[in-house]
Amino acid sequence: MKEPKSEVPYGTLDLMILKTLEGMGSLHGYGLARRIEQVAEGSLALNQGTVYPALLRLEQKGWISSDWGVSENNRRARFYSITKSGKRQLAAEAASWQKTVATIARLMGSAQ
Amino acid sequence: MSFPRGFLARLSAGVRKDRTGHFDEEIQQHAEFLAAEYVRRGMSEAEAHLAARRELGNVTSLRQEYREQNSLPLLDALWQDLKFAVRTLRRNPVFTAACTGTLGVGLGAMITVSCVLSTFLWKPLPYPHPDRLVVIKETDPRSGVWTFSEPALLDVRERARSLSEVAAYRAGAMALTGAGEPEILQAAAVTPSFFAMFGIRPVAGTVFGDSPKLVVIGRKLWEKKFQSNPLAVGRTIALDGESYTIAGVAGLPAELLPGAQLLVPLLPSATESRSAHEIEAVGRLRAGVDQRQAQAELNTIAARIGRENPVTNAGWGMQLTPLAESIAGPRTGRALWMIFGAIALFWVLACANVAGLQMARSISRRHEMSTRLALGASQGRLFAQRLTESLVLALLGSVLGWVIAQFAIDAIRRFGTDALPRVAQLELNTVTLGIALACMLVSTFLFTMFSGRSIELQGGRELTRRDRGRDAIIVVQVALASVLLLGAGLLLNSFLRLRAVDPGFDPERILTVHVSLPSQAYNQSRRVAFFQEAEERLARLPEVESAGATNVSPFTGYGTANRFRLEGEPASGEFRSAAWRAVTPGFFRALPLALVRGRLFTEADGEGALEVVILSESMATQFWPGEDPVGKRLLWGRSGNPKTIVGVVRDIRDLALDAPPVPTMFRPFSQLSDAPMTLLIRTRGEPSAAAAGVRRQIWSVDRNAALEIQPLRRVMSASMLRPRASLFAIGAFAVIAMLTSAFGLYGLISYRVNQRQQEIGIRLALGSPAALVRWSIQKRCLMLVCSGLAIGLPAAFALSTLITSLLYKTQPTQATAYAGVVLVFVLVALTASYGPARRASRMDPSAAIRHE
Repeated sequence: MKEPKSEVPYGTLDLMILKTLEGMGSLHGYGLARRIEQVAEGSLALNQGTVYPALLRLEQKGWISSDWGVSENNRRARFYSITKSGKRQLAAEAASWQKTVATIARLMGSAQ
Repeated sequence: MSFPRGFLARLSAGVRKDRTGHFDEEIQQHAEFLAAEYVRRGMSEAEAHLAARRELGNVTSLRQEYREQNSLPLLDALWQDLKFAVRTLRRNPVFTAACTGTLGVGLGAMITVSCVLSTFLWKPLPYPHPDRLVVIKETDPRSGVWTFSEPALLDVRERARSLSEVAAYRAGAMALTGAGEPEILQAAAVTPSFFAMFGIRPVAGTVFGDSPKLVVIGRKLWEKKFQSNPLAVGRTIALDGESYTIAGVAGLPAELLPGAQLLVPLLPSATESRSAHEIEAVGRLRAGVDQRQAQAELNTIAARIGRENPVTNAGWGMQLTPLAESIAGPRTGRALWMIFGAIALFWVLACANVAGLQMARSISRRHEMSTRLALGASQGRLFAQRLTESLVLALLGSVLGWVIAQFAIDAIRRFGTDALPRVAQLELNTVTLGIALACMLVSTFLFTMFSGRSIELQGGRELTRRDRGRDAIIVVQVALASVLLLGAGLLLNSFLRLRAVDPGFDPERILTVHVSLPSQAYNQSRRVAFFQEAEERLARLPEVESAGATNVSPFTGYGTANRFRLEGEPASGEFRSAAWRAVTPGFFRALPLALVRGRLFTEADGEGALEVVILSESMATQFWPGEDPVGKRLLWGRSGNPKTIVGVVRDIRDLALDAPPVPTMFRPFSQLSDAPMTLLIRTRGEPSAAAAGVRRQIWSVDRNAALEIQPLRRVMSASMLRPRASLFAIGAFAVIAMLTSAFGLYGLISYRVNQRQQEIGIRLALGSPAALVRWSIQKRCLMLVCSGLAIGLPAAFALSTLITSLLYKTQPTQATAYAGVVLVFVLVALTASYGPARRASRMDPSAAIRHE
């Protein structure tokens, strides 16, 4: 039996997008969604459409910026890249994420 | 900070309405990428596209999410609510008009009164450092408060350290000749220090110093008589027959000297009598000195004056009042607060009524609300929508109220100059704007509370709960309206009594002409001759019936009195005092004033003839009870010269209608001719139509006579301005309040009947007589009204002392007034419930039972 895919935990999609953009530079929505799925190696039930509201949200906050460009299949597409303040935000969120994960891990460890 | 940036981005997208942005294009792209990928994996083109759609999920809901992210949902909702509110209100024009009208009138009245109130009580006078200006009066422990004497003013000016400036003025009328037609003008004599104290700067020429015979004219007179010509300065005009040179032109302090058109010098003299209290004293407190310190210093000064002048000033004191308070007057302030109270009550009434209407409508909208709740609208969302609706209503009402207030204040400024001081300063200001805004917020809040109470309590389910809230509103309304109606009833009663007062003569068709003759040109006998001649020539006019003259023009509020003794009384005893009038023989014919016994004056009662006097009836009966005074003598004035009583005439009220007739002695003008006189002319037709002919005839005797012509009716109605204004104001509010409560009652009862349709249907079906059904509904309405009266009438009783000062021969606790109010409201209750009750009793029982 296939391992059930887990839902994207609330609030973590933003973190994933920022991290991906930091690593990959400029990406369009499709590329971004594909990349996240690749990294998750099929263990994440990402509804690909949901990246668009998330991208808009991040852009409104000034953490990413976007521009029209030409995609690999020669079509007009919107490319997103991380901004300076986005990088700062990512650093802060990554740190807090690590801490949360470590805490949960310790809790789980001690419970067993 | 990321919040404002995100907020701004969303706001701008929301306002631009570019909600979906490039979402559709991106999704489209995305789908194509996916499909291409699937094709690569071996799917057919069609299969790939389907799979791509599946993968992307529900695009519509995504788009919705995107839109919400790209706008402010709150703003969106607000906009939607606004549109919805406007639509709903437009669909119910009667409801909207009723609410807006009620609110607008209430708020308009509220804004107007608060504007007047704030101007009078808080707005500084338009003079330099107005808070330091004070009015000083002399006080006598026996006879009360007096204006100043000239020596006392000089003493204060010299000795008072706490006052940096002292000025004085004396207002009065002066006859202007030598510049167009002769005219009597309001004027004032002022000390030179007056100009600096009130910040009066000349627009042309200069102000005067210590030199007499100079005059500063007001801008209005300058424009009217001299066409604003700067060359008017230096010209000579005659005032009361003496020539004055125009020193300059200036705006005059209208608040202090209402109506004054020119200023002449007042140069106080130390040799003037200390008993002549004829000038008004004003002072400016030195910076840093408060009123108490200044008062203390004045007390010392007054005590010293008393020691130095024991005959005239022993025991006298001085009293200091802030100028603003002195101008507004303690009574004006109280009256204004009373009116404000009445109007605030009315505004509450208006709000309650609109809230009641809202509630009635919320019941009829319960299906709509239930449906929306059932479809998933949150309570908060429904609340927000009701709030928006209330806000729109309150806003409409406020705009209307503001417009009404503008008109009202305009009208007061135009017509209220005589009734209120400082009207020129009236304007809508920040205070009134604040009050209007506060009223709007409060009413919005109230309406929202009432418009949805029952819905919130009941959720989306059935609503049949009886709402005691509406009962309470109606009861309060009836209570408030009954207080106002009672007040109006009392004022009406008082007004009618005042109108019905018999002045002792017929005031219709009388023209009054106040005559001012240049003083040097006229000695006593020439004055007598002038009036004799004038009366004769006037009598020749076809439009004139008869003409006479008196020294006291009726109803101007000004009178004359003198001491007298009865002949045979010891001179050491206390003297008596009575009113006196100097009149020409024509006076009794012109009024006419009926002779009771003896004879009237004739031309023979002149200088050198037997000194005679005619008594009023009340004088005769008071001092010669049971006797015929004709032929007896009284001793006139301080000198005690005997005058023979030749006749008795009926009583006359010529001071004020609400004052009882006073014992009066009439003397022939020819024997007492130094008084300024007013001609009373009985005309055949409309008195004002005779004015031109009258003027010509008098000027044919002397072209320099200054005349002030007015029909007596107008003088009388001016003297009744206050009672009429208060009656009109309270009466209007009472009627509006009563109508709104009737309206509210009708709404409530109709609603009740609709609610009880089923029950009534069953009753009718079971054979209950229609009359009984009708009565059961009307009884309910009567009970509400009675509860309101049970609160309102005792409250009115408790407040009755407030209105006493406005009433003439009317007890504020008069039982008939209370009975009248009860009767009116019983009628209101029966009328308001008649329609709904009739509808109920004619209901088709089967239809009613099937209802719902």
